This record gives sequence, C-alpha cells and structure tokens, in this order.
Amino acid sequence: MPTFTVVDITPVALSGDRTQDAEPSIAVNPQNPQEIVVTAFTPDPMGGSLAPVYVSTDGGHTWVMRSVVPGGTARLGTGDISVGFASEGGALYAGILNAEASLQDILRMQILRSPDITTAASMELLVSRDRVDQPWVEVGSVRGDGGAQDRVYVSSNDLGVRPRSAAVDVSGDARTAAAPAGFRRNTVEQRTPSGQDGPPVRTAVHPDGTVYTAFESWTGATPGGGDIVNVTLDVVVTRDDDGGVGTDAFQDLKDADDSAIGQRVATGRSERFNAFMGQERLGGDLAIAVDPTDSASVWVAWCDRVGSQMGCTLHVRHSTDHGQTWSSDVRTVTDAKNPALAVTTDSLLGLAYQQFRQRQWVTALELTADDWQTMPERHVLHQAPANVPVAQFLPYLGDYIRLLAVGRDFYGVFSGNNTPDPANFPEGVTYQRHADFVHHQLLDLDTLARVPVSIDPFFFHRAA
Amino acid sequence: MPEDLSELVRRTPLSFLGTVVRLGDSRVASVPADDRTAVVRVFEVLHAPDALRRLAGSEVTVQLSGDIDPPAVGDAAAFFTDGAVYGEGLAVREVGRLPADTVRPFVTRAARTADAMPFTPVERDLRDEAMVAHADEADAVVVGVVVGLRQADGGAAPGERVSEHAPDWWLAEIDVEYVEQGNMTPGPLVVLYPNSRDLRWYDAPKPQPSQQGMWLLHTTEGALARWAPFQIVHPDDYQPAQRLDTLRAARR
Repeated sequence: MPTFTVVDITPVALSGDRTQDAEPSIAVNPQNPQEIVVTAFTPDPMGGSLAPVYVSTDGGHTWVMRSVVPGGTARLGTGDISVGFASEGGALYAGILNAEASLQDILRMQILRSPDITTAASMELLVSRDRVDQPWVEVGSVRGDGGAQDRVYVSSNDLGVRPRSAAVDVSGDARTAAAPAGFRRNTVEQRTPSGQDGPPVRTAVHPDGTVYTAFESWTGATPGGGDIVNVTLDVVVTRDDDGGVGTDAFQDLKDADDSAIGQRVATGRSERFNAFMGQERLGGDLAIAVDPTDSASVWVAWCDRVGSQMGCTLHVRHSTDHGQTWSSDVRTVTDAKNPALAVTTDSLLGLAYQQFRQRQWVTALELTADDWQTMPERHVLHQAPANVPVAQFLPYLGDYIRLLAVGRDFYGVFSGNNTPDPANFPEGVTYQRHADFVHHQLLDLDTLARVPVSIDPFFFHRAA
Repeated sequence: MPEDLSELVRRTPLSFLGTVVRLGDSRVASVPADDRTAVVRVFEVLHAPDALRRLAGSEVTVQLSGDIDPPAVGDAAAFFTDGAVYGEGLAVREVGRLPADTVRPFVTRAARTADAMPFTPVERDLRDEAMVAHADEADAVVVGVVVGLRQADGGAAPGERVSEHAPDWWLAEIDVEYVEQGNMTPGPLVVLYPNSRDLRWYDAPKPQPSQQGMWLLHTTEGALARWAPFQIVHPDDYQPAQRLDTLRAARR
C-alpha cells in the first residue's frame, strides 16, 4: 500500500520566518534517496550574500537550511533556481539567475556544481552568461572508461540569441572538470519565432541516451494593456538520440507536416502573458517526461488560454513513437497552472499542478497508468485561500513546481499558504516550524508569539 | 558606546547576550561538535533579523572564532554572529565577542524605551549612515510630490525582450519643491521607475499619487535616457520627506 508524506520544510530554527518562499525546485539523489535538496525564493535568513538550500538526509522527514548558492542578495536570495543530482556519485548541479546581477538589470544565468550536499562550501561556478532566463536542470549519468560521467542539461530561454531563444547547455562529463566543465550551448529552436520563444524550456532524459526538449515557439506577441502580452504559440518537442553531446544536437525529430526540426505538439495556442489568476501571474507553463522503461513514450503538459477564459487551461498529451505523433488531450484541467510530470519505473505517470478553484489554490497530484482512461489515483496535497497572504512580489506561488520519479516513488515540491489548518491538507502534513493546528496559528521561536501566514515550500513523497 | 560595538553590529546580522552552558558540544546534528563549538543559552537578543528576534531562552550552537580566546563554561558575553545552519536548532559562526557588562546598559535602556531590541538605536544610526552614503552617490536629491504616473511607451525599452522579469518602465511626474543636491531647479521633473512586481523589481520604489518624499535620483543611461533624465531603482531611492533633516544634519 503506497504511503504519502507532506512536510512543511521550514526548519524549527526559522519558526519566525515570514518570507514568500515561492517557486520551488527539488533534487533527489537517485543513488541515495535519503538525500534531498529543495530550493525556493528564500533569502538568507541573516541577509548574507549566499542563498540557502533546504537539505534533508533522512528522506524528507527532517530538514535543515544552509546557505551555499553564490550570487544572492540580502533581500532577494537567488533569482530563478533549479537543481538536479547526478545519477551516480552524489554531485549536485544548479542553474540560477544571479540576484546580484539583477540589481544592475542583468539576467545572468549561472551553472553551479557541488560535489555533495554535506559540504558547507559555496557551490562552484561553472558557466555564466547574460540575457538568459529561467534555467532548468536535468542530470543523467553514463558509464565511460573512467567510470560514471555526469551528463548535465540546463535548458533556458537565451534572450541574448534571438529570435531562436530556446536553448540547452549540455556537458557530457561535468563532474570534475574545471569550469566551464564541458558545457556547450545548443539552440533547440530551428524555426523563426516571432521575436523570441517563451520562458520555459524543459528537458526529459532517458537512460538510453534519448533526450527530449520541449519549448513554446512564439508565433505572435502583441501588447495586451499594462505589462500583459497577448501571445500565440506552438508547443514544440525536439529530440536527440545520442545524449545531446554531439554536434547538431537536438535535431533528430522532424515535424511530420513541414519537415522542419522539432515536432509541433499543438499549434496556434494563445496565452495572456503576465495576466493574473488568484494573485498569481500567468504565462509559460510547460513540462515533459519520458517513461524510463520505454524511451518512445513521452508526455508533454502545457497551459494556455481557451476561448475567452480569464485564466488558463492545462493540457497533457502523449506520444508513443518518440515524439513523432501525439494524442489529443489525455487530460485537461481548467484554471490550472504549474504542470509537473514524472514517470516511475513501473510506468506510472504522475501529474502535479496548482488549480485556482473556488477562490482557493489547490495543489493536486494525479497518477495514471492508462492516460486517464480509468479513474486516476488523485491526491489533493494542499488547498488554501488564494488571497492569503497578500503577495509581496511575483510570482506568488512560483512560475513552476516540480515532480520527480526515483524508482517507483514520486517526490515533489510546491509552495503554498502555510496556515496550519488540517483542513488544508487532506493527505495530512508535518510541520518542522512551530505551529498550533488547533488554533491555526504559526508560532515563533518562543512558541508564544504569533507569526503571520506566509508562503512556504512543501515537500511531498509517495512511496510505492 | 565601545568603539568596536558599532562596527560589530554593522558586520553581523545577529548578536545576543548569553551564557556558555557547554563546550565541545552541538545542538544541531549537522554541525559536528569539536573543541571550537559551544552551546550558549540566550538571555537577551541584542539585534537580529525579524525571524530570529525571539531566540531568548533557547540554546544556540556557536562555532567559536579562532581569533578569540574561547570562553569558559558559565561565562556570560555578548556574541556577535553570522548564520551557519538552521535546523532543529540554530548554529551560528562567531565573528566577535564583547564582555557582558559592556552591553548591559543597552539592555537596561531598551527596557525603558519603545525600541524593539537593545541595539535598535545602533542599527538606526547605521541606517542613517547608509542613507547618507547612498545620497552622496546619487546624482540629485530632491523633495517633491508625485503629480502624475504613466507607463513609458508600453513599458519596454527598444530591443527589450518579453520576460516575466521585465521591469515594465513607468514615469512619475514629480513637482519638485526643494533641491538638496544636483544641478536643477524646483518645478516639474519626470523620473523613470520599474513598476513590475516581479521578484527582481518589487522592492524598487513605486511612487503613488500625491506621495511626498525625498527622492534620491540617478542619471538614466542608454536607451532609458530618452524617457527621463533620472531613474529610481534602489529601495532606498525613496525616503520620507522628514529624512531630509537627517541628511542635512549629517552633512553639517
């Protein structure tokens, strides 16, 4: 019988925390799933120049925070951050936007490495490049002559190279080499989008060397009032059959209609970039996952605007022929964002998302082995009023959440309202920080003073 | 005030008055105990970030500085520290230490005032110093009222790409009443500011209609200069108008 764990990972020592810890990412060490790292828009608690990571060494039951990510600022922590563990050896990689550079109005993407999570040393800088947005890390390993090699993929929206801005930096052996550790930039957009591609670019890595990339190819972008942009887009998938480490990488999948590189999964979709839903901004939601037992079986999820709706609708589609042909929607969720996909070694597909429903943000996890043809296993992880707390900044909850599969288990992270109310957690919850579940109050270090509600990162684990 | 107290407060985010209860011990599992760790019971927090103000009564693991003679069990002192690990307990790195008697007058004084913590007056002085230094670096400092707000040509500079982190530039028209610094005269002035609430920009000043203040202005450069001669981006670029007195006093 599967077991389920949900944990508010803000440590006891930070019971007085009231920051907006949005946009989480998670890495689980595949060799030792007891080791887990979570990141979010959490500033260093003492205002230092290193941003913190949350670390668990007992499978997510207890957590500590330590500051090891360079480029943070006293107020911001780091900018966007995504993390991934190597398949073997325990090295941790991060893709960040350097917050210090952001103070000079520079989007500076950096790739970082740490030999393991027990070190208190600052992560090592491997790559730094300006005008790059939303780095996203996936890591695999291959067996080479000298043992395991870390194959690291950092996808991003490289606005310095436009209009074809969807890109993936790849290193075929990043574990020990000196900076830049073999990283090489690959353009994955081969058509000519309207000005640029959308912010999210995602990869899915299969052990046989197949690597998929998904991105949103913008076909139009017009002002929509204020800072809203009306965008039309195609959802595109590219593929590389040799780990993405060769020349002309990510060019192994051509569109069945126009023969251009990159199969279009959906065309002519629209979104209102920077519009609002439940205090959260919209625009750019994308996920991709491949079945670890079958590299031909791949799923894509994205969000767009259907008809005249104010929010956005989540779509999931499935390909069983290496991304060449795609199903119609196998799952549609209205007023939902932040799709996250993962597939276990028993071919169970997981979809996590956040839905704005009845003035609440609801975070759900659905599991299906047959593309929702039968009723999925569904878990509501969290539900809480969408107007509490008032947003300090955007994103309110985050432009993404993350779901991982390690073996037959699912691990994930989301951010949400941290009111300690059992009704908000249908699957149950454990808090690290002091909380009074009877009176629905967060309590400070002295366990007496009340602490206002804020946004915390929540870890979840479904053990098979 | 001891000469080095102000400097220690400037250099550290957390200080507390405490008593060493154990040496060579740790209350945080991921911080191994050695001959330079001590467990200190906190008697009074002297200055701290909001999340750590209520440490009093708890035991903190201190990684003792190698530059200072280690204390003995039972010693009371003011520990000036930086953060290390936050878990089931707090572990900090010692940066400096002062005798307890040196800081007790601050504790006594805080009990008789509205100050949140004993070193609140020291922090206030440091904030004033920082504001004055920031003003010294500004290209102009004025006092004025916001009389108009509008988006600057769609909010994007030429060539700027669409991003969730885009600044969304707006223009504030300020009726300048007084010029403290800079080569300008009272009257209407247009100032550029990022109106985006993205993490990257949310704490930049967001002028409000009829808002009066002291504005620390910085010359615009490149493509932004076509919109306005000055911009405000740093959180401290707006100050309440009363802060002009602080600035003037510091400059006398």
